[in-house]
Amino acid sequence: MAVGMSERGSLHSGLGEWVVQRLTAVYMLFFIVIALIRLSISPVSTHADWLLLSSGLLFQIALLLFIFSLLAHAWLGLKSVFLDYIHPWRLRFLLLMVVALFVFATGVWALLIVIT
Amino acid sequence: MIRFSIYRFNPDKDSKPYMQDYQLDESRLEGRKMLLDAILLLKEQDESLSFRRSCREGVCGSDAMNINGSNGLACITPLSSLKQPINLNPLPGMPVIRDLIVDMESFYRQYRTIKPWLMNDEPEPEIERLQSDEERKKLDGLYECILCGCCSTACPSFWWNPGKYLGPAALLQSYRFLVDSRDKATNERLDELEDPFRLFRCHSIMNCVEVCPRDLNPALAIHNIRKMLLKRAT
Repeated sequence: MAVGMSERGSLHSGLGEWVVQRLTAVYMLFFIVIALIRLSISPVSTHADWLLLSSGLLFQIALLLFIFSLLAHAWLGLKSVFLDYIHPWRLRFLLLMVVALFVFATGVWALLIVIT
Repeated sequence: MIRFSIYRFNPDKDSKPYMQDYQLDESRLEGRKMLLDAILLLKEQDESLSFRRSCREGVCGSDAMNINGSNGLACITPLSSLKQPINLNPLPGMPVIRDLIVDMESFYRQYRTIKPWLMNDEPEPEIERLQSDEERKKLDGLYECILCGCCSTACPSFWWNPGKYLGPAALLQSYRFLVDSRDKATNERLDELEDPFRLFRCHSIMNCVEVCPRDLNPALAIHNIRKMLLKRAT
C-alpha cells in the first residue's frame, strides 16, 4: 500500500493514447457497419468475388486502415491493462515488448497480404 | 431484532481481522431511523467497537464506511433500506487502524497534490474577486464534495494504483479549481494532470457516481478534464 503520491511520470502521454483509442474505435465501427452492408447487398461467395473486391484501391486502403486501427487499439488496450495490474516494471516491460513485437509483426504481415 | 455483522480488528490484540455478529433490539432506537443511530447503540453494548462520526447529518463525512458492500455515510443511510444482517466493513483498499477506522493519509495526500486553493497572481481587487452568475454556476456539483472518501475507495483504479492515480475525489476537486473563473493556473494544473497514471487510469467504471452520498458526478468531472486537455492540445 503506497502512502505517498509518486512523481509525475516523464512521459506526459495519456491524452494522445486516449484520443487514438477512441478514434480507432469509431473507425472500426464505421468500417464494420459499411462492410456488413456491402456484404449483405452482394455476398462474397467465391474466391473470384473476393479477389475482385480486394483488388480495388479504396477497399485496400480502408481494410489496411481497419487492420492498423485494430492493432493500435489492441496495443493501447493491453498497455492500459498492464499499467493497471502489472506493477513490477521489468515484467511489465517484458510483456509490453512481447505485445509490441506481436502487433508489429501482425501489421507487417497484414500489409504484405493486402498489397500483394 | 436488527442483526449486524461488523468487521473487527484491533492491531494490538488480533493477529487478523474477523467479523463479529451483533443484535440490537429495535425498541431501543426510539424512533431514530439511521444506521449511525444503531451503531451508537451497539457501542453502548460493546465499548470496544470503534468508528468515526461527528456531525451525524451527512456534512462532515467522518462516518464513511462500506455498508452491505457499498460505500456510504452511516448517518444518512436509513436502516429500513438495508438487508439484514447488515454487513459493515471499513472503506475498501485503505489501511485499517482499528475496526471501521481507516488511515485516510494517502487520500488527503492525493487531495493536496491537486493544490486545492485558488491560484491567482493578478493584483487583488479592493473588495473581492467577483464572479458572474454563470461563472458561479460552473462550481455547482463540485464544491459540495465533503471528502468522505466513499468514491475513491470504491474505485478499482484507485485500489490498483493508490500511489499514482489521483482518484475520483481529488480529480473532482481538481476540476472544481480548473473551472473557477478566479483561478488563473489552468495551464499549470492541466500540466500536472497530463500523465498516464494521475488522470488516465480512470476507465469510467462509474462506481464513484454510484456511491457518492452527495449525488455528485466525479466521472463527469474527469471526462470534462479530458475535454479541457484535448481542447488545449488542438
